[in-house]
Amino acid sequence: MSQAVADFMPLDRARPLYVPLVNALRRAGWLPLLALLTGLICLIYLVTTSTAIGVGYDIQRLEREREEWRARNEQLELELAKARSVPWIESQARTRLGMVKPEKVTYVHLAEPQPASAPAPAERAAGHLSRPRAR
Amino acid sequence: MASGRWSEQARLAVLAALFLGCGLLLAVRLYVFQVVEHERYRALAAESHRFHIPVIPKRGALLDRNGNPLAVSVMFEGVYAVGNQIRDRERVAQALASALEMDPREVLASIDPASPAPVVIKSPIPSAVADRVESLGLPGIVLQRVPHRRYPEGSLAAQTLGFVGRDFTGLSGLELSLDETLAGRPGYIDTERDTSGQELVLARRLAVPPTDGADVVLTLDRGLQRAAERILERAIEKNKATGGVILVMEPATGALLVAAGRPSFRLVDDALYEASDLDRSRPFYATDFYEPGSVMKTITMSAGIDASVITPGTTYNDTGVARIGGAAIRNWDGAANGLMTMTEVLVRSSNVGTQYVSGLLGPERFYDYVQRFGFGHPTGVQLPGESGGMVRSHLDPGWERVDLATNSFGQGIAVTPLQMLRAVAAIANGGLLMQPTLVREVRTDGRTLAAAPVPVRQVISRDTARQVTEMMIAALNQPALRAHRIPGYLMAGKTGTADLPTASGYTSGKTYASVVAFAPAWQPRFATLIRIDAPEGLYGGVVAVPVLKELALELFAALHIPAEPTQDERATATP
Repeated sequence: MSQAVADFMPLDRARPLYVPLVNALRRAGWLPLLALLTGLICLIYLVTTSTAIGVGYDIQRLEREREEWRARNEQLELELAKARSVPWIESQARTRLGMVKPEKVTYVHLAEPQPASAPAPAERAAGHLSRPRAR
Repeated sequence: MASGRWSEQARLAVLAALFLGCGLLLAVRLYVFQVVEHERYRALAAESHRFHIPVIPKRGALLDRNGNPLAVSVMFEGVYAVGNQIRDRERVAQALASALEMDPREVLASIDPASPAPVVIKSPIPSAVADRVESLGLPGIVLQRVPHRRYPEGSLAAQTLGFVGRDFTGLSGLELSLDETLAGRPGYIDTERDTSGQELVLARRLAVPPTDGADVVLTLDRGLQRAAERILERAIEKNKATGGVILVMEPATGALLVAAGRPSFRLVDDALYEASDLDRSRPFYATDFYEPGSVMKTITMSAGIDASVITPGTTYNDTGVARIGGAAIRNWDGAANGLMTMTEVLVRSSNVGTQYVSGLLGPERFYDYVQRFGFGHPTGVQLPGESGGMVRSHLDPGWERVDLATNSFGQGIAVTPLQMLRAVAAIANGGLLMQPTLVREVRTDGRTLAAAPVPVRQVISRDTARQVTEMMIAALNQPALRAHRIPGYLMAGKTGTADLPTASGYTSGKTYASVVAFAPAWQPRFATLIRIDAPEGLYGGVVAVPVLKELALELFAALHIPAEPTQDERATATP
């Protein structure tokens, strides 16, 4: 009889579905499990945060290093520019190579060489340009 | 049940009202804080824990026309001491002095024990030294990187380049006038601090990135500039002069290849400039004016020919003196040159003959040409404090008829060397006046913005320019100057000698000796002005022309200008 009544119990009086779960937890001792879960969440949070902080420090360190290398690069470029400057070249020419400023500059005029592929003026005058070269 | 004056219910009601009132008050205050003044309090809260770290942009470089650096910005480290963080000052000073190769007493004196802010001990220092200091790990000693302006070519073109202040803003020369272009825009990092004032590691955010300044490529040529400065220094020394100017311009573009002035100042790295340096730091070839003297005769002749009142062959009888309103105009040598053509007037630099031309022109036309040649107004070159010179025309109070005569041969009129050079360059450029420029291009964000030449106006016709060029060729190739000719090269020019005024007037016996010239005469690649101040030799022909020869030889070689061996080749090159 009681089974029959239970089978036809109204819906609003039916046992919630989680009741068996709660009962199971109660039987297994739910408090330690909950504590474990909380601990796990805290651990994950801590690991994530500490990793992020570590990465943050790394980023800052790398940025500092990048600035340092950039500054050193600029300093080396300056040294290069100084080594290519007119006063430096002149001082090196005078002191290391023993060069002196010429008293007099002599300009020598040379005839401009004709390009190898261009025909000689005589050929142009003879109209050779209009003929196939293979002949 | 009721006891005393108040019943229990009444007391409860009062208490409830009191609580309700307090509750309401709190609710109202909460509303004010959270809603009405929400933004204000949010900003206050942010202000208390957020802060900005400025990010300094890199100042652009000044380069010569071939891209060689003349002024660059470089980050250098400096050593700073935060005094109130240092307990054992003697030990720190000793260790630091050893690393920095300084006197320990000097380091000790630099450490202010009360200072909470970093105080500089030594800056800048090389990276290797910075590493050494860092490895010491001294408490209260910090390294900071700050930008410094450096000049790889030394003090080359110092007056033109100018210098920057401690705050890295331009204070003179191009550094000042191009400051906006060179400086860039600073950015900032947005970050937060905790309750102890320490920066939060993860809070950093580059809120606004800095925009680096643009590199400016100038028209100056470092090789020519250096050669010109050396020639100028030698000329000043040889002639026992007080200073001088050499300017070289490309007539077709107005680009200045050389801008040298003496006395100048040293662009010493990180120098605190002396007060005496400030006066010499001006690019006085553009800021200071002088009476040009006889070089002005080229302008008068140009005006006369262009207005068709004379030709190069027009004759005039030079009696050695011309009387104008009671004043006597005489030649520089007091001589009477007799009947001569206008070309001969220019060759012999006759004052009497030149005033005749200005008289034919009349004040309206003469001063109109003077203005059209650009005198009386700044040229617009990219330099701060440029002067327009002083031109007193017939429309100005105090002008007299004799001024027309004296102005025609460069007296009673004041111009800057740059104005004078530009006017002569206009003759070389077929009568087209160009705006002088020192900027060739601007390089920013990988883009290159070229500065196009700016024509101002056609001052005289091409034919007039050709005729005046012929006259100037004759002037520079006269027998007296033959020793300074360069074989194979035809140059046009005119010498000038003007009295140097002092506080007591024109009685010092000192002069400005100058020459203006351009070459090759019929296809000019450069125009130049040379001025030697207060030389022993007094005259432009004696002092400035030898300098012109020396400079021209450098220019012909550097600009790869071939010699013109024969007269026939010159004739075929005539426009």
